[in-house]
Amino acid sequence: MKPVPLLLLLSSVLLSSHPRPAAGRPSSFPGWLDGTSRLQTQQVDDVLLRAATEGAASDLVGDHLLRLLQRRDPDRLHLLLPEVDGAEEEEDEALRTAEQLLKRSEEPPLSIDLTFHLLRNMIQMAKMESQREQAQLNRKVLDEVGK
Amino acid sequence: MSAALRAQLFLCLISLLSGTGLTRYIEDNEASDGLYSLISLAQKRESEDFVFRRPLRCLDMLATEGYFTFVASRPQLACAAFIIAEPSEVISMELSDVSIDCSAGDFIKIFDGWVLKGEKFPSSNDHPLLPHERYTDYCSSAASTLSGRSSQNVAMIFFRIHSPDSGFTLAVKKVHNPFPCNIMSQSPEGSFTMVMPHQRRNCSFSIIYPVEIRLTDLSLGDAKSNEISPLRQMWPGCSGSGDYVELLGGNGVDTSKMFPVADLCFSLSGLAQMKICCDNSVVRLVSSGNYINRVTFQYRLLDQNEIPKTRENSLENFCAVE
Repeated sequence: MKPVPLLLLLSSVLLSSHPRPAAGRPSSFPGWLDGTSRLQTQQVDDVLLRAATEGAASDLVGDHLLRLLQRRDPDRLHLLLPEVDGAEEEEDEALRTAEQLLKRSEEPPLSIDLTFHLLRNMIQMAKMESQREQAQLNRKVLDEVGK
Repeated sequence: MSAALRAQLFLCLISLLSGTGLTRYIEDNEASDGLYSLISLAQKRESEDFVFRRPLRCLDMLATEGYFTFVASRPQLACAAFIIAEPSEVISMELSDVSIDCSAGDFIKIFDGWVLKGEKFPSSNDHPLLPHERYTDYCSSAASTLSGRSSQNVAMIFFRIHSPDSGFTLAVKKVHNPFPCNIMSQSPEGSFTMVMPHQRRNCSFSIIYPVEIRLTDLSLGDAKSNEISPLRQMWPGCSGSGDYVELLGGNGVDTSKMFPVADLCFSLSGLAQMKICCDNSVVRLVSSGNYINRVTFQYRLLDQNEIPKTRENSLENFCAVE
């Protein structure tokens, strides 16, 4: 056999069998985003980084997010690319999903610490106001009809 | 003249006279008199005279339809307004004239239900929406107004406003609900019939008082007859699968954190009554969706002397009534 074709064949076999580096991230985002699996996780990460660093969320949430992304892919944290390749619609969609994620993670536990006693009194007062208002309305209606 | 000709002439004369005759009539210049006012009542309700308006307070309870305007005189960082309607109504809310600064930390959130001391009514198990879906945030919605409809007869709105003279207007309307599920009672006495037609839902009727509950009618299973069929009595137990009614007592509004006081698995046409000496008494109808279930009950407030101060039997005192 000629050495050159053999060399070519060997080099082509070696090059084709070289394993591609596996992506270091899971193929799907954490469970909450399964509904929108159409999105590319890469763009969402970029947007999240931007949002977290620009301070769109509270500081605490930003820290959590940064730590989460750092754990998953430490190299990308240093890139902080200002622009992402791709169509603008995809970026808008990614931005919206990132906002959703931030909102869910920062959902404030809003609550009012009223005792039942106060709540009952408030309901009674509101009922009395409602009855007063209904009586006034009835009076106005009867005045109109009785003219 | 002949009689026929005369008759005809008279007929002609009479018809001419009736055409030119003077009749009495009442001049009706004003359009708002008499029957017309009844017909246009629906239109009148929309006019200024019949719309209820008042300022909204930082901590408020609303039981009427109307327009409630909040204007901050100073920074108000933790405000909430509870809205309650009749058991067979749901609440439709709409925000308008909103002038808050979202970037400064102001927010207005509408919640589908009530949150009290960290507990939600209806509980997450009983509500069709996920916990985060029950909040609707003005700042994160793209539209300039926010509207929503509750799934039951209670709703609430949380708001925080930093700068004085900012505010919003909340419009509350009530919408009829033919099959109410998850009801908060406005009064400590009354009666109600809960019907669950072929839906796999658990419905709670919550009375935030210690009450005596009397169930007067309970129909679980086939709606064609109220007779207790022997087969139905062989259910494995009330807390297994199937349709049943349970009575709960507790000190919070979350029904999943309350204690079952009694449960009934079979239809009854007699009377069953129970005193629940807790701050919150709940009648809960669990439905599999296979049948039409109906429960009718009355409730009345317990006097102070009816609530036992000391337990004489061995049951633990799981409700500490004030």
